[in-house]
Amino acid sequence: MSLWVDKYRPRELTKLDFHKEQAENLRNLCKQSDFPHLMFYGPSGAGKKTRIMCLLREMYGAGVERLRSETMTFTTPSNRKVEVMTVSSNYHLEVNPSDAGMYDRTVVIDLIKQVAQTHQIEINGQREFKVIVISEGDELTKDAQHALRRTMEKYVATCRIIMSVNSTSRIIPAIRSRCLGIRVAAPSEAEMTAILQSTCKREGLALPVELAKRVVDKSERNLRRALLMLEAAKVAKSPFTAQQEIPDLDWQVFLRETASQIISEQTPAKLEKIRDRLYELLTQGVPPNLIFRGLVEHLVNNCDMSIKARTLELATEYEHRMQNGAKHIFHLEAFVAQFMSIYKKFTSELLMDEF
Amino acid sequence: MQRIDQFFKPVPGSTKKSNGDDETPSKAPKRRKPMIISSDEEEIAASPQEPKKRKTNRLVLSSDEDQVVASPDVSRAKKRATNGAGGKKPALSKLKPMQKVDPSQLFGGETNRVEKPKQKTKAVIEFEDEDIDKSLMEVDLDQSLKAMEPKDTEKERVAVARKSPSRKRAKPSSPEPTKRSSPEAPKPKKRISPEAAKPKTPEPPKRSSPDTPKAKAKPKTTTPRVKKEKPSADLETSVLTDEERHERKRMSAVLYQKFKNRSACLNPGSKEIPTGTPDCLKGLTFVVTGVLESMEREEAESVIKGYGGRVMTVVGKKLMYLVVGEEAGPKKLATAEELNIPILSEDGLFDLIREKSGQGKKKQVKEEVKSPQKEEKSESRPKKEESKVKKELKQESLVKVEKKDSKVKKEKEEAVTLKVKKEESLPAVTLKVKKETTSMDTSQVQQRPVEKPLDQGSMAWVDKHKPTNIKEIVGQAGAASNVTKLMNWLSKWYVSHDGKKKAQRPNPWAKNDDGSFYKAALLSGPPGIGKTTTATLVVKELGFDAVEFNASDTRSKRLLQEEVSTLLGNKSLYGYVNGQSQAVSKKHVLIMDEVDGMAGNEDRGGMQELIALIKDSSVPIICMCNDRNHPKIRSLVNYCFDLRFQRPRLEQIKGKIMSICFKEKVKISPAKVEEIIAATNNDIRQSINHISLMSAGEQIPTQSQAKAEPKVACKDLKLGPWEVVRKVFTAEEHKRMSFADKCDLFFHDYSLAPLFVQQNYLQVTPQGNKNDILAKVAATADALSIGDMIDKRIRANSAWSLLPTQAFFSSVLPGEHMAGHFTGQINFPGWLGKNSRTTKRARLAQELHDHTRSCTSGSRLSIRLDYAPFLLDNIARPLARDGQDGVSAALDVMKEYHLLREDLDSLVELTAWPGKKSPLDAVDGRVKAALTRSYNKEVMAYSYSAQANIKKKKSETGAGDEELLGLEEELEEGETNRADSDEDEDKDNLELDGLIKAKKKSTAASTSKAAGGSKKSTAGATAAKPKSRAKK
Repeated sequence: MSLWVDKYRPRELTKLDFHKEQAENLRNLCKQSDFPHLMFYGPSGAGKKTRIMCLLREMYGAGVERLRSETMTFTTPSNRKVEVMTVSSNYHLEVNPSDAGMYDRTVVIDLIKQVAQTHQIEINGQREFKVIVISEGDELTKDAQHALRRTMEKYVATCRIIMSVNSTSRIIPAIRSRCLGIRVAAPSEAEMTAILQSTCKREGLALPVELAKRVVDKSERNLRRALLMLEAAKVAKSPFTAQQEIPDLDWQVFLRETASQIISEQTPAKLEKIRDRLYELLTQGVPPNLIFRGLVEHLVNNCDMSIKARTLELATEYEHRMQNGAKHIFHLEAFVAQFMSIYKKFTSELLMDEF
Repeated sequence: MQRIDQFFKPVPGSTKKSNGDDETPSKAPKRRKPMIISSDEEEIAASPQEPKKRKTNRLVLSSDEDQVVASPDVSRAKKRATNGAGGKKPALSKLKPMQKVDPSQLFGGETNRVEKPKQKTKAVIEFEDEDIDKSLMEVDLDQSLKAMEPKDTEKERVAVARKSPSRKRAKPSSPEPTKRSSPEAPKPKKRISPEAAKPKTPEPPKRSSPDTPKAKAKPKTTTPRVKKEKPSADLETSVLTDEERHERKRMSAVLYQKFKNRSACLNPGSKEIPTGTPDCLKGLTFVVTGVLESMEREEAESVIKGYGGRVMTVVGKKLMYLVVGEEAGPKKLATAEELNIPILSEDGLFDLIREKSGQGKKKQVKEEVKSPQKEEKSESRPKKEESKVKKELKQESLVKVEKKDSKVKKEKEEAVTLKVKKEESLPAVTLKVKKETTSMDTSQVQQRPVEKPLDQGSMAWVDKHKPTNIKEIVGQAGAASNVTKLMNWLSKWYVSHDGKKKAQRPNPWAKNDDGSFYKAALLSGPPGIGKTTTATLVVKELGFDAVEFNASDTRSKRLLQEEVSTLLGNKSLYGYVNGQSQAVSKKHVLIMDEVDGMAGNEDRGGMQELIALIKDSSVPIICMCNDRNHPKIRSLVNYCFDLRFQRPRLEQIKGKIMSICFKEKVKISPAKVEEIIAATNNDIRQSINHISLMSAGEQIPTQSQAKAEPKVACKDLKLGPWEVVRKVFTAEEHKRMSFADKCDLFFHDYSLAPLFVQQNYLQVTPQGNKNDILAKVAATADALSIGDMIDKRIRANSAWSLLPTQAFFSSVLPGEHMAGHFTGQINFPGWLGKNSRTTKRARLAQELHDHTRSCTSGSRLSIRLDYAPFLLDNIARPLARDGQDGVSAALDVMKEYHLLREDLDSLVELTAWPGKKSPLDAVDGRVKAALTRSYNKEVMAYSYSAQANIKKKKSETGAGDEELLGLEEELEEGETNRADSDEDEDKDNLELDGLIKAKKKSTAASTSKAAGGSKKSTAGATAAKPKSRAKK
């Protein structure tokens, strides 16, 4: 009994709900005897992974769905053992080298060589190469990417690499040029609504158009999130109503509350409480740039036009510093402190004017 | 130039002043020997050769000297004598115009010496002289540069020269002549040998004993008298004067030579300089002459000055002591004798210091004080001898003129002696002064590295004031103190380890354990608080013999095995040898000091061996270490009676230090003592050292030092991060601090400082307008943000040169902005805790991602932020809604996503937000247990299961909720056996649970387990466990 997201995930290229033209192209690609390294890029929840799996199935048949997970152990040059979990079938191997943190280079080198040096066992297999799927490719360090670029060429006869990345900007040009980029854009709202509707239909539920629209809005065009939300909404209130409440994600709620607290009171003591809340967000793994974004969105919505620009300026400044710094909280806190300062100044001036 | 001066000085002096002159020759033999022994071979060789080469020079010179000599004006001579240095100058001035010799020739000692032989040739040459010259030439020709021969010849020469005057004057007798009466060649040899053997032994004060050196000293005094008459004799016999003159010249040259080669102090530092009270020599005056045995003269002078004495250069009436060494200035000695000034040896000086500072003086002092008298006695004796000798000589004498001379001498001798001495003194002194200057030069060059610090106490204070019995150990007086414990343990050791009974290993948490189980004790604690002292004193107190091994001994496995084990089997003879009542003791203690220093290749395996040793030791072993928690020590700890030494409190140390200060008569304010103790972090040893250093500084108080001292104490303080943060933000502190000081605060711990500042800057209430506070806070936060960027740069690029910049942004600037006072408590930086929690949760999320990967598509982040809450909700919902019936539904979800039971806990943790209830909280404990049970039954193991299980066990999550789960897991283990048997039992059990649950949940769990166990056979229960494990 899996979640709807996984339950109704399309398994074949032909069954994809959006970007159908692209799916057709991918099918044609598979029909040729060979295909280049691929790089799927697009935002989270757009269906990159789904497409990759469909593509693999198109190439190797249903065999790729017989997955097994293995833990592979790598030894770094400094004699440290790194364990990385891989998911593989007979035809492909999926790995997330960034699991190894700073040792991802070792993973890339060892793993790819290991795979590349062993030929396909099954002679009847449609392809004479294996596929390595690298997920979260943009998390790879520069070193790992450089290690990748040579092996990509060297072992091209025996293996293909399919990378799944969110943004190509963090991929070095050398790799970008070696891969055929396939952009998987987030589905349009109409597409998403359609998908939600069809899902509900399969579940035997009637989804009011309005609710679907709200879910789509809320999910920020992240299909995965939209489906999860819809399911949660179903749990909360089974026959859907147009105005029913859609449960929010906890971290989003928390972040919003934090922002409103900043607006409500500007004192050092409050700042300290805000710090604790920011810590909480950070420990829960909310990426600091998401925190920044969430804060800014809410703050800007709640403050006067005159300080909006300044707030954005501060946010960009501190976000930049955060990327160059080590401890995120320092910069988040500095941003909050600065905002408090200007907001307080603004409100006190406002009061003065009134008198 | 100086050298030339010195060389010529004596010459004119000698010619004019018979006294001064004669002194030098008489000394010459003595001095020349050391020079020869040191054997500047060249010199010796050169002398015979040069006569030929430099004939012209010499001629000139000789003629010059002739001139000088030719005008033997008594009055003039006296004048010169009076203004010592002045006397030389005229001679020089005369010489210079005459000299066609290039200076270099004159400079060398050889040239000087060479000249004399030349003069000999010029002068009417005595038969013997010629012989000597010839022999010298032969030696030269032979090129035999052996030291002995030249020495002999030289000595002969000297001897002959001596003789000749003596013969001439019949009377001028010296002890040497007595020896010389026997065949000449052997004599010199004899004389050399004793001198060579002990050139320095003849210390002036010891002259009283009949020794050759003394004998020589006498000639010095006696000969002057002889020479006094010369001026008059000169007129009569030109030949004689000529010869004498040349003789004197040579002697003076020899003297100079000798002076040049004068050895530095023989055994520098061989004697302990006594530590006296600071002003023990106050009001006393000293003159130091000659080469002291253990000190350079400068050193001696500084010692005297250090104790308040005054050092003079000239022997006068005001002088109170003359400190003499080897080769002391004869004139000084003479004057001192005359003025009845006590003459001290080096030892005498020390004894004097001891005496004056109230320490027991040694007999020697008395001896030395007496010595002048003795000397006088001895002098009189030699005189008699001399006369005898002279008589003998007379018989031998061939030349009539000599007889005349001697007669004249005889007549005048007695009358003149005293006067002569007086006159003699002055030139001698001047001579001495010169010598001293040069000797200082040379000695400084040679001896500087050896020079000792001035105030070298006989013992370091730490050792001096070491506790001598256990009661004196600081901070160990209590009944529960480590000393008492150690005493008890050690005294009972042989009783409790007699092999009859086996003591039980005590509970590690037992408080009042006397350690009788352990064969070894481990004293641990920071340095300088008396661990070693405690051990040694306790051992001493109990009459054990200690065998100590410390870090300076190699303590490898092999060595320990061989040496220690054999040592321990031995019986100590220490008591026997020292004549103690207990002749041979069998009671040893092995003290292994500094066991944490057993490291490196040297001591490889030492720790294991030590443990093995402890296991079957027949003697108590006391180990000592600093860091008890060191991995190497940890294994040892299990076998040792653990005695942890804490740092004594400040007051305890203070008491001890103040008493030491009192004993040492050091005045120091208690506040300062406290400061020092605090600065050393309650380290007794270091505190004492500090005090000692300060007191040493006080003895030679310089103003700068006195001023700097209070600051020094401040600077030594090492601040903890809390104190640092307080200082960073406290406005009052800022007033006293420079910018650099503020930066320094950061460097007390540059990795923690920024965190502390960031954590606590909001606790500060800054001075100034309240409305500006937020602006200040914002500015501070901004600075901290920049500081963090710098920190990253430093660590990522190893750009450590940026540290000062970081100091500015992370500490100084926030301090400036927020300067005020703390209103809240200073907290430990929360970042560290939060960071580790972040990584832990990231790890959990990673695991979750790994497990669910085959059936989900999301990245780690999306799993965590999007999936996790829904997933948990999906699992928890059926459980909460349907209770036991929902278990299968929940289990289905878990199976679908390949989740482990542990992942459920991870999910709970990953979705926990403050103020939000976890969906699993609503689930009844029993339902959760049922879930776990059925999970264990149904779900097949995944490839990662085993691994996760181990990890889980390792890191026992401490949350209350999880504890409960853990308990239920146990419960489930007990119940699995039942689950497959039949439903009824299960229901029974549930009823039981329900009954007990009213009281307490946890007990319910345990009792239910017990109930399960009782219903089934215990064997069945245990059998069930592996089963459940196997399923996993």
